[in-house]
Amino acid sequence: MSDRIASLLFVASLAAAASLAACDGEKLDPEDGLEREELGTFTTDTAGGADVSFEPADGAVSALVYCGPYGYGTLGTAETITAPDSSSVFDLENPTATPMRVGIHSDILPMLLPVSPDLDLASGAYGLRLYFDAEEAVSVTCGAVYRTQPVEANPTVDLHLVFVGVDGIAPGLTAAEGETTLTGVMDQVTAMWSGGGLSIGTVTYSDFDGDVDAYTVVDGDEELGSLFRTVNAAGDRSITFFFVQEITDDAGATILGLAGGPPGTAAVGATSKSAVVVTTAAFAEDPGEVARIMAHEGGHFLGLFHTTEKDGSESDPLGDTPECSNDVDVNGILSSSECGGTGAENLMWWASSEDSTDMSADQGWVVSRSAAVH
Amino acid sequence: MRILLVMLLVAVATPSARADEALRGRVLDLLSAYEEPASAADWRALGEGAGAELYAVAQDTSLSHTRRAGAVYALGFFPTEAHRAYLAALATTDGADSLLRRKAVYALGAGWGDRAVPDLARALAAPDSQLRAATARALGKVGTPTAQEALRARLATESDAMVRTTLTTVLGGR
Repeated sequence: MSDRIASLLFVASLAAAASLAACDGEKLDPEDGLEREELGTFTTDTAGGADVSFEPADGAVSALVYCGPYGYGTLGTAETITAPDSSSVFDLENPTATPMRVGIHSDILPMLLPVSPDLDLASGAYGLRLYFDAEEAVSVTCGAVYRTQPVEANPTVDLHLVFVGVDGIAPGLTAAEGETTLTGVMDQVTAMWSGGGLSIGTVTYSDFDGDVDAYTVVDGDEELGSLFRTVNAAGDRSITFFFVQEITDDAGATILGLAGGPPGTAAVGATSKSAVVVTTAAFAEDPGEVARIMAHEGGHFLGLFHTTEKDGSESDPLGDTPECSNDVDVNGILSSSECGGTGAENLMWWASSEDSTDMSADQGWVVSRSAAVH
Repeated sequence: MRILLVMLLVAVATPSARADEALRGRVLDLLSAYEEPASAADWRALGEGAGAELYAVAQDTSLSHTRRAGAVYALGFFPTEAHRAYLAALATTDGADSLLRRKAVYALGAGWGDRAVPDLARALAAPDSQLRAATARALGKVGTPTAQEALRARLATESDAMVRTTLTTVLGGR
């Protein structure tokens, strides 16, 4: 570990001390309040789908269901989810008809149920029909993590920050400036998440111990997936945040941050949806942006969707987050100025701005269902 | 009289200034997307002036690195001669900001294709290994025989393991 990171570690451990006290300083038992189920291996039929069944443990408050891996050339999603009473929980044909959302993902398909206070997790067997856009049969292994632990009054999440070739995360800053800035970033994340009642518990730090040169700039989905698979989350319910110089898409465009999910595969183990990655290019001049990226992508990992998508085609299923359709200039893009007061202030708004920092009570309700939260 | 003149100037200038400010806001918004960079269609949707605004944002040192990097990259969607000259100078100037240089090589490849290969070949010899890797990917996307030749020539002399892996992958060797 470099001297600089060691120094940052020391300062950060001081910063985390107050929140450590909030959870009595005890390390979370990785299995505490969680029950796991292996659902089996499934192969798609001629229609490109596969039928899976899962039955939440008695008293469970949420279920994280995941299927994969199926690689990066294939996209998967849920076609339907049916409740034990045969009612529809989700239907891809009309995805906003119910307060459930399922993303479209490569390699691993994760789902959190419920993702809204308007949806209960019932006792009994759920039916899940998977769909993949593959020409050939796809074989996936599915599992579930049921959260049986009651949600605490003060939901708390532990974080593990991993520095990947970012030399103390702030080239150009002195060590003292870097320490102060990092502490400020964590304070801002704490403030944003507090709106939803979520606290930060233990914060640990380390240098990346893998191939630093390969991941300093994360280029594309496959590289991201292989970075996330270095997380050994099986015995650890903290969220891993990788701090890298830059993330790019396959065409080379800069991405501010990415999370496994929504939701990330919390407490599952090493998958391509096991972590969060943050571009730190603006750390020195705009640490607030790094804080917003952490809060936003952490929100995705914990199960939150964008309040409204850029083109207005989708919105989250929550009743207390504004939905914007105010495309004044009719250009197909909902800008932050067009949606001021109707969603742009929320930390799950699609774009980062100094004003997008709010977290609602319903969003707090959702994140407290994540297996990462205690 | 002077007051009247000032009022007249304000009346004339304000709508334009407001329009400029609104366009700047929309450009910065698209550059602020967390996960999904703006597409060519998104930029076109902003209408006339978006390219010039991106050019201004790219050079505005009061803005954050990530916004400027996004603007440099997006200039590839507006392939004017002025933009090409700016991007080529950025890509080939050792000591310039590494992130912006990486965006410049991607923009050159996407916006000018085979015409950008001479500048990309120069960037491929830069001391910055992350820039060389980005340039290799940009040349791979250009994909022409000239681009392939530049990649093969670099592979023959490249000593950095990460860049060699990138070159090999781009040349289809994995």
